Formats: sequence, structure tokens, C-alpha cells
Amino acid sequence: MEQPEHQGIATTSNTSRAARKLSEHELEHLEDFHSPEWRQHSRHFLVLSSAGKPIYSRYGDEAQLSTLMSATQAIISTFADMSDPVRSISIGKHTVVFYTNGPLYLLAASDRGDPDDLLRGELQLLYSQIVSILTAAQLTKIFEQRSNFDLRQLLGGTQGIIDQFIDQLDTDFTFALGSLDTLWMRYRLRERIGKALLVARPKGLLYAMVVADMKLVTLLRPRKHSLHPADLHLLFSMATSNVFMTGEHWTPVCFPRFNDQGFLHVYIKYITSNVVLLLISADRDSFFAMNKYCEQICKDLASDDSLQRLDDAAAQRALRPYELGVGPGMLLQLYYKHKTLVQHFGTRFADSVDEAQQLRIINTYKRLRIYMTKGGQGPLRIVYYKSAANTVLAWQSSSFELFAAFAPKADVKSMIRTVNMVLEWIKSEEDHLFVINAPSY
Amino acid sequence: MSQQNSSGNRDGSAGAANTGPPHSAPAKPIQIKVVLLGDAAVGKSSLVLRFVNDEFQENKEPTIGAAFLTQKVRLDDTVLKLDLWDTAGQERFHSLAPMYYRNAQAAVVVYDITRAQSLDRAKSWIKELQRQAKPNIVIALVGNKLDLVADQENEEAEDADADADADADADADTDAEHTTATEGKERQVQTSTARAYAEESGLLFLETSAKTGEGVVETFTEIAKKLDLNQIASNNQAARPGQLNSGSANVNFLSEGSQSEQRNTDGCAC
Repeated sequence: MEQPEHQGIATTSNTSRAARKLSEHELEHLEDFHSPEWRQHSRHFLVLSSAGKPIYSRYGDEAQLSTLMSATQAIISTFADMSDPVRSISIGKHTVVFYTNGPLYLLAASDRGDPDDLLRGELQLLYSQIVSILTAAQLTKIFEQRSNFDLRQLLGGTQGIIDQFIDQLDTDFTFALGSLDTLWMRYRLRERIGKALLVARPKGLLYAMVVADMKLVTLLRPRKHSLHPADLHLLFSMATSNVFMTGEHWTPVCFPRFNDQGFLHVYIKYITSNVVLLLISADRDSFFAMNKYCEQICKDLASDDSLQRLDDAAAQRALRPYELGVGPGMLLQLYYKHKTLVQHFGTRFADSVDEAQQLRIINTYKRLRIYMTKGGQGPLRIVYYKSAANTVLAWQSSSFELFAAFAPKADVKSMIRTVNMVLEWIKSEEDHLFVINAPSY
Repeated sequence: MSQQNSSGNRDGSAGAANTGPPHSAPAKPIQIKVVLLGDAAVGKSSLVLRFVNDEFQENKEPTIGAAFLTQKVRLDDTVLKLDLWDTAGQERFHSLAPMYYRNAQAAVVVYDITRAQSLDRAKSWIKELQRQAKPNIVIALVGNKLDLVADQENEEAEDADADADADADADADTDAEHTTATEGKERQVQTSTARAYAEESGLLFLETSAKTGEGVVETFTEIAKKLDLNQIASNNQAARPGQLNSGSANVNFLSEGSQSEQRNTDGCAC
């Protein structure tokens, strides 16, 4: 069965581009790897089967990239036969990194100086994303039965979810930090919401989570178990898709770190315009139990003004740098990870930082984190990084990781002073910044 | 038939806000379970969103799993609460479909009139429903995306006398943006072909446009008219003795309620 959303594209050649008005989505799909537009993108991600069949490309229509896919397949298999798998290639300013897992070959190419380990980590996340849609069991089985299988048949309709996830890798440091992003709110309000989750816990429910824009508000979990942050990142990312904004949704999702062989079932409902309730159940027939539970939570939270206050907190999205007790001007952005809680928060960017610079700052954070943890000199504690575009300070201790971007005029001394003030502030605000006493059962 | 709660309020579209009967109608609404099936990208979600929220989104993202929405409607003096299961059309979700249609009183099987292949897919859904759903399920075959071919048919209508589509054509004429989007789209499923198939198989048949709204409310009205509402109402009651509010009645949809309902349909249920 041909994927319908690709049909219009396959029958549209470059020559007819002017003939009708195309959506941005369609235009993107007209790019092939000979076109200058395609070559200009900074970071490419490709997925193919071990037989060389195209599965996914971040840019362009993967079906138009079959020559490139075949070449990739040839490179990987050649080295695989020599029992020394190819890990990366440097071509001019481009780094190309390969990652293989079971029947899937994945490739990332970057012209931003991304370290191999960073790209490989992102390819592993992309692989997890595909597993979360299909399960590893299904992937293995399909390709055992037919090594030539066109996986796009089964991934149909998920292009948007995968694209969105890869875009978020560029703009959000969360995935690289490996911890859960939290929403700032008053401790009492967070506690109040946690209590609402406990009231009518239905049979079959494993986890209940209240999330706003990929940031955790609170969660209810089994006493002796917690889901891996990487699994939750995939779910939180998926839940930001527009497709869930109306109505209630019920879908199987595989959590690769929890169990890559099977599905759990997820109830997704936006309970306000900014806040989504995610309920994970082991029972695929439990939709109406989840539906009733959601109704009761909403009714409870609406009985005082908690639901409204929750939505107000979510609408704020994140703190501004000058709200961290340091005054405006110097600090442009900051991430702080609490290592024990495996949680972090990030501020918004200062208004003076444009989108291109935001991407550069996030990219710098990601690179510095790799250098600090995996660099040749052993773990580094403090790194001061200054380039024409960025001034960044990264600091790791046994209890926290901190990444901060500063105005270009900042010197090391004032940066350290600012960071120390922020650390003091965080200590006093910990209750409101992090999810500390989440309910368990 | 008139829609209630069609204020466009997002929260109002879902189960939570729609449970209580309207003040004007003291009788408990009759709950009807409707499932939407069909190939990917034929417009199932768009039909539902037009019906429930009276809105339309271009380039809508594909449904993941299934979406559940409710809409109350009035048919003569009866209030109906439609529980709508909007399923994803992608192949990997096929095995989940029985979960949604197994207790449905009605099914809307959708195809895209500009894609002949999607009618084949609709036919195989209908076969599956006739084999495995409730024996008295009301099935509507719906050809969507009338707006994409309205222009061409408008031209044809100037020569020959087209009757039923006159309203759609009038709408299309006033829609400037629409003209750009339709270029290059051709009808691949003739109305007469699909209607003949529907009649032969005992299905309701309508053509719709989720974009203009044409035929959307009519689809659900026709379904409601064909349903044996008295039978459903008594089944609903028999299935849920002692339930005080209609909201919690939902809970039994897939478990106890369904079994009781099956006992209550006429004996040849299997």
C-alpha cells in the first residue's frame, strides 16, 4: 500500500512547481539531494533499512534519495564485512556519523562541528523514537520475514512526529541533559495537583503525568518503579503535536527503556489549552476508566481555582533570566540540572537573542557537555567558552550541572559572580523549581 | 436535527463537559456509539472536527491511534449523545480497529472521491464490519472531498443538468482560495458507482466536504434516522441498571456493558 500523504508528492515533479501553489510541507518534499536547498541544511538525519531501502529523511522526500541511501548502505555493509564497523567520516567541514541497530541503519551529517558522540547519541534517540512507534520486536520480526520490506508502510503518518522531535533536538537542551524538564510553580499548587491524581486512581493505571510544553508539573508513579527520562522525553515530545489538541486520544506507545518488546497504552488529553494529562496503562481496553479518571481530576481541580492557576503557570512556560535573582542584562539563558532528582529547568532566552543565536547557544551547550564528560582530559569541572558568537560558562559538580550563556561583554569574574548568585537563588527556590514530593502508590 | 454544545469550545468537545442533559430536555440522552473507518488521509478527523467543532484545518496531521469526541444532537424530540471514535487510517493501527467497532451501533466508512484506491479500502472495511461488528450496525459509506472537484463539476453542470450538487457549486464559487487548491484534482469515483455499491450492500450513502461542511450534519442525521432508537434506549437502560448519571455510564462501554448489550440484542447475534 502506497502512503497516501506521499502520493501527491511522488506525482509532482520539479518542473510543475510553478504550476500550482504548494504548501511549505510539499515544497520541502520536492527537494532532492542535488538541489542547493537540500545541501544548505546544517544537520541531516537519514534512516534506511539494512537492505538499503529508504525509511526517513529529515529533509526532502526519502524516496527521492534512494541513490544516497544505497551509497550509505554500501559504505556501512562494506565495513561491517571487515568486522570493523564504520563510525564516522569527515568530509571538509562536514561530519558524518553512522549508527546501526538491528535491521536499521542511521546516519547523521552536520556542518556545525558537532562531536561524533553528540551525533551518535542523537541517532540513538532517533532509533528509540522509531522503536516507540513499532517496538523492537516488530522491527526484528518484519525484517526477518522480508529483508526488503518498505518500513514506511508501517511508519505512515508519523513523519510529522519524527520531524518535530528532531527539530526539538536542535532547539531544546533537555534531550542531551538526560533529565526531566520541570515547570516552575508554587510548591502548594504542585502539591495540590499531585493530590488530585491520587483521588480516584483507576485499575490498570501505571503512571499519570501532568505536563506543559514538555515540562513536568507532577506525576503519580508506582512506589518501586520509575520510567527512564529518555522514554518520557519521547512521550512528552509526541504530546506536543497539534493532533492531540482536540478531543481525547488513546494510542499504543512502546517505551524502549522500559520494555522494547511491547506496547503500553497512553491516554492523552489537553485539560487546558496549555496543559496535557498523560495516563499510561497496561490494559488496552481501559480507555473509559482513564476517561472517567480524567473527568474526576478536572472536576476536582476546577472546584477551587487550581485548574486556572495551573494553566496560568503553564502559559508562562519558563522563567526569564532576570527572574533568577540576578537582574537584567548580563545573563542570556541558563540551564540547571539537579543530579539527584534527575530534573532540570531552563530559562527562556533574553529578548535580545535572535533565533539563529539561540540555536548556536544550544549547540554550544551540547558540545561542551560532550567535551566535559567524554573529552580526552577526563571530566572537566568548569569550562569558559568564548567565540565571536557566544560566551558560555559550563559548570559540573557532584550535585549539579549548569550551562549559562552571557552577553559578549561579560568577563569570567562577573560570570562566576552571577552564577554564584543564581546558585544561591536556586537553593532558596528549590521547592518551586523541582518536583520534590511527587505522589507514588 | 440540531447540534448542541457546538460553541466551538475545545474542552466542550470532549466527554467531560458534555455529560449532563440540556435543561430543555429532561429525558436522558440516548447514547450512540459511532466509529469512523477508512484509508489514511481520506478526511475522517476533518469530518469529525467539522461536525463537533464546526471547524476545518488544512494539512491536518494524521491521527495517532484513535481520538474520542462526543457531540449531542437533537432528532425531533429525542436528544442523542454521539460517542465518536475517530480511528487512525494507517496500516499499523488496523489490528486495534475491532476494539472500536465491536460495540458500535453505527459506522461511517469514508473514502476520498479523488482516489479510487480509497474506495477499495472502504469496501474491505465494510466487509470486515459485516462479518465482525454487531449484526444490526448501521453503516454509512461517505465519499469525502467534494470541494476538490466542485469546480469541474460546476463546468459540467452548465452543459448537463446536475441537480444534487448545486448547493456545493454555489459555495465553491464564493471560495476564492479553494480554486487554487483544486487544480489538478480529478474525481476518480463516480457518484453513481459508489451509490450502486452502497444500495446493493444495504448502506447509507452520502458525499461530503469536511472543508465546506456540505453533507456532514446530514451524514449523522441519516444515521440517527436509520437507527432503532427505542431498541438502543432500552438496551442502554438494561445494560446499566442503577447508574445515576450518564457520565459514568461510559465506563462500561468496553467491558460489562458490552456483554449485557449483546445478550439483549436478538438471539442470532453470533
